[in-house]
Amino acid sequence: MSATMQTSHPIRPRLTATQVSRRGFLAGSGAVVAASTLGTKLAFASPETPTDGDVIVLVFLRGGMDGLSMVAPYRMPTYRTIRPTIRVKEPTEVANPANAGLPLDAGGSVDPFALSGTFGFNPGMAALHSTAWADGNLAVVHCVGMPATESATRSHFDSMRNWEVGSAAGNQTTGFLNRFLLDVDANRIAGIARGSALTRSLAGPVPAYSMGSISGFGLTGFSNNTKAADAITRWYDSGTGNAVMQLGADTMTAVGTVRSVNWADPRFAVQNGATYPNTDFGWQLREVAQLIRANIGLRAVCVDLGGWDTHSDMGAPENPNGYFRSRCVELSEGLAAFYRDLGSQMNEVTVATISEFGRTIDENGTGGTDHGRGSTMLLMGGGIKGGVHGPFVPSITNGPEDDLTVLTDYRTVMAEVLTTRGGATDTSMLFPTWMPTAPLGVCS
Amino acid sequence: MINATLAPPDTQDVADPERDARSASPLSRRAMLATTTAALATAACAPAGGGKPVPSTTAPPAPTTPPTVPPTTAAPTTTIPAGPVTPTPPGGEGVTTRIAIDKLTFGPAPGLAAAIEARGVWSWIDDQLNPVARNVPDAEWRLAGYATLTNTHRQNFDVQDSDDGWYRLIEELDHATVQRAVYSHRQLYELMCDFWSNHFNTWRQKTWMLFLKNRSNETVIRANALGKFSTMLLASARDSAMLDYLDNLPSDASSPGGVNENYARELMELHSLGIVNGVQTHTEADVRGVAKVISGWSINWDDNATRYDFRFLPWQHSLDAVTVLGGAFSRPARTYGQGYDDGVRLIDVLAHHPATARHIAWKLCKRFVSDTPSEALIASTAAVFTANDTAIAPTLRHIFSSPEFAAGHKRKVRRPFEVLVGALRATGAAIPLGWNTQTTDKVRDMLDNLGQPLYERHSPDGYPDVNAFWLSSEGFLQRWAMLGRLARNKLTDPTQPNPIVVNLPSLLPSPQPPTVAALIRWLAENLGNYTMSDADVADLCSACAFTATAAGTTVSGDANKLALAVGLVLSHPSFQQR
Repeated sequence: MSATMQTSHPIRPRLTATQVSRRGFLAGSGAVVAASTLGTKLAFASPETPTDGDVIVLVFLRGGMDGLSMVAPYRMPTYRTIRPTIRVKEPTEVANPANAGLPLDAGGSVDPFALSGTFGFNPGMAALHSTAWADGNLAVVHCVGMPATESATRSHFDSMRNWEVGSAAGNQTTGFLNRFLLDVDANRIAGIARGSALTRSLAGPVPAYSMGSISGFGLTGFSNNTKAADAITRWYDSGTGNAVMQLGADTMTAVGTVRSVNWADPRFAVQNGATYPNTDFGWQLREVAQLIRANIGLRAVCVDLGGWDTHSDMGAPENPNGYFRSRCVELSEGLAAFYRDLGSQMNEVTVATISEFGRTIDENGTGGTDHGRGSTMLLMGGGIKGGVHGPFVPSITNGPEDDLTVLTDYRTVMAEVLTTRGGATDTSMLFPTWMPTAPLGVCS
Repeated sequence: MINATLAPPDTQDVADPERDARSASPLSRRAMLATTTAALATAACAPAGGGKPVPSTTAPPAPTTPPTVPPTTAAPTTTIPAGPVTPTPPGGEGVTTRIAIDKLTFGPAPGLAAAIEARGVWSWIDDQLNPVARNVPDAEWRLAGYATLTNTHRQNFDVQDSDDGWYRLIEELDHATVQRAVYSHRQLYELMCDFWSNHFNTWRQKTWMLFLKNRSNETVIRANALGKFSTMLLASARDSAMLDYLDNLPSDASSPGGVNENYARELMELHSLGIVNGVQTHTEADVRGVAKVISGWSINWDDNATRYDFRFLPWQHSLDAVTVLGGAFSRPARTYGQGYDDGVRLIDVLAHHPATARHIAWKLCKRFVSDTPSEALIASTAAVFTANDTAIAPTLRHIFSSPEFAAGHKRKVRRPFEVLVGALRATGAAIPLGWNTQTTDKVRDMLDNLGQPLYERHSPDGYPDVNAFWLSSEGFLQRWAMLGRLARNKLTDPTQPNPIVVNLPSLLPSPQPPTVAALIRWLAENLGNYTMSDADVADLCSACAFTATAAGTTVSGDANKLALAVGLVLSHPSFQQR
């Protein structure tokens, strides 16, 4: 078959000779070689030997999540002044304390930290506050983003692109999680994006897969699906340089792997009494836990949760039906169920939430906030050191750009997670334009 | 060899109840109805008259935007009228009938290739660029009774307020879009409606005012899709659906927090100036300045016939002096009641800004050529756009007549909507007329599963137009399944009223191709608009246990085998690219 379509596989990151030799599966040329060895490791039935790094679950909060409403500096006078209605209240200010901020004090197994007592979770975060936070397995980093020296964009689309490829450089086109898979020599079904499209963070030369559901991941629709699969597999050749054919070939290989798992095995059922919320996000996380347990080689997963572009009507956090609070409920109940379901297996899983930017400090005239800069990350896992990490501004002031300053490069956090927990070794490949700085110590 | 477990054991053709329940949830009739009560409760709280006195200057006359492509209601015809004959423009020699079909229509349809051949490719292209003047038949006759497409906003509010009103608004618009794309002979126009609908994307379910979308689709998008960009940009800026979606409707300079920046930002970033390959013209200060100039661009809440139409609300308008874009637009401080004309002038400055020309040229080239159009083509296209006062048709013609256009054949992946519509066209599918049938529901769920539900993109950028986004495992499994089902008449439930009907034997020529191999080749050529290699024909025959040299009727005479062959011909890599 002639390849008429120019490949759209992003250009493979430049590798040194030693890097190439370290990664045996790259011994060849062309962006498609990585895929061909996928097929050589398909024969497996029993759980593999423990991996040498965590599964990284990246939850992208699309729209620009207002960190000041999720993890609020609720006792800071300047915060109280500048956000008259949408701020998170203290217990003395509301009739029902459950509707006040949930204090992020040191205590339990959470180490003391510099900002103890300064912050409170939005009351919608109760499910996480009573579980992962109480266990000391939930970390918060405020004021994260890309340094203004590299990009200060407040465009959703440019900013998401920058976060996901890990750089503002135009010639960087592969997702940082795809480079992570490259670094850790991932194989088989290493990267899965939940949904109908492949998340940009995972896009690149190492095959990664989008998956709507486990049960639906197969070829259906024909009068004889086995014959149809045979024809499609023959047509969609690997290694032609045609991106459509490569995608088809990778897909059919992955289908073979996923369908060879007995998903009815009780080992893959929800465990530890966890109850996932009846939301799409909860359902996605339930299947991610199953995929992790199935030992199909998973190293990175992307899950999206949208609805954070809150230009108007964010609602008061003390109102249980407030919009932003309800977003927090969906996030925290999903993550808390995932945390409980995996139980001790959370020692091999790290969840990170990111969002393309934070929002303006000021409330706007319509009860919302506009695009800002400094964002907020959550990190959860058995290998995460609970607490609020990294610097915060000394006062919430409404500067000329009306935003929360970026004080921590988000890549500093992700680099620590991907190396200390994920087992990656080459941060210059993960984040080529990042200026390496000392880790914050979010990983234990 | 193929592992017999490639297909999920229990999902050969049985719906996955869990997945169906999920996929249907955001869009299903039940869900829509469930939200109706809440939505109407909200509606009751909508401000009436803004609570302030209405100065005499409040309602400037709307600029008239006569539809560039008025609908016809005449009976259907398949004859494309003869018109002036166009010589092939220099550089356009490479545009063949096959390329014209793949790149300028939603896909091959019975008789189309012959019609283009008879008319001449470039005469046909000029017909497509001027469909009204050339009397190219549309498909509007199919939409009799779809009142929400032509209703005023006020009338559509009443529809939404009635039983099943939300459902009707969504179904009429979606089913009209599908039928127009499948059946209209104004194929390029319909492609451009899809393009601009994404460029000026509004998500109808963001607020309770879902009903705004139906009229705005006609007055903003369809009225201007081959007209002038400057007219469309102003129409979009005055579009109630856009003002609601991007929060300009409540933006109030006199409120303690001041104006809302959301629409101002996207007006520049997505609709006009753009950010092309990371190069951005406007600044954060420009976003604030523009937000001030267009503050007060809102809707009429007065209880009269123009309720929910555009209205300038001076009590929400900023009176500050504003200078933006390095002085390309400025205005002095204003007094109460002034300011609307400033916004109109600002929109015009944006529409004619060089960055806008480059942005629109880049997007059109990405649409019609490849994901990586040459700098030279972008620049020359931008120059044509500017020289023609932002007229869209001559800009397109410039792209089509560049050698890069023909060279871009098969370099774009068909997006899910294009695959579905293309397959319906290729198989000559008969789609029921009414909006309230199983077909409308199933088609919408199908597009949802494929990852491109109509008019449900939540973010204002519209669905991505780059290959990488659509090259996904789930997306391809879903599209193959859709194509397999369509060929078997299982896209909808054939035992229920109003299914989609495909009659494959009726598509075959007489006499039939002599051998199975010839039959497969004929199907690829005529249904798929591509040539299947001998090796790929052999692969299909081998996989399906067909004897390539046997009589063609051994496959065409067996409904199951013919459906399998057609489903696979459409699942071939060539049909996924245009």
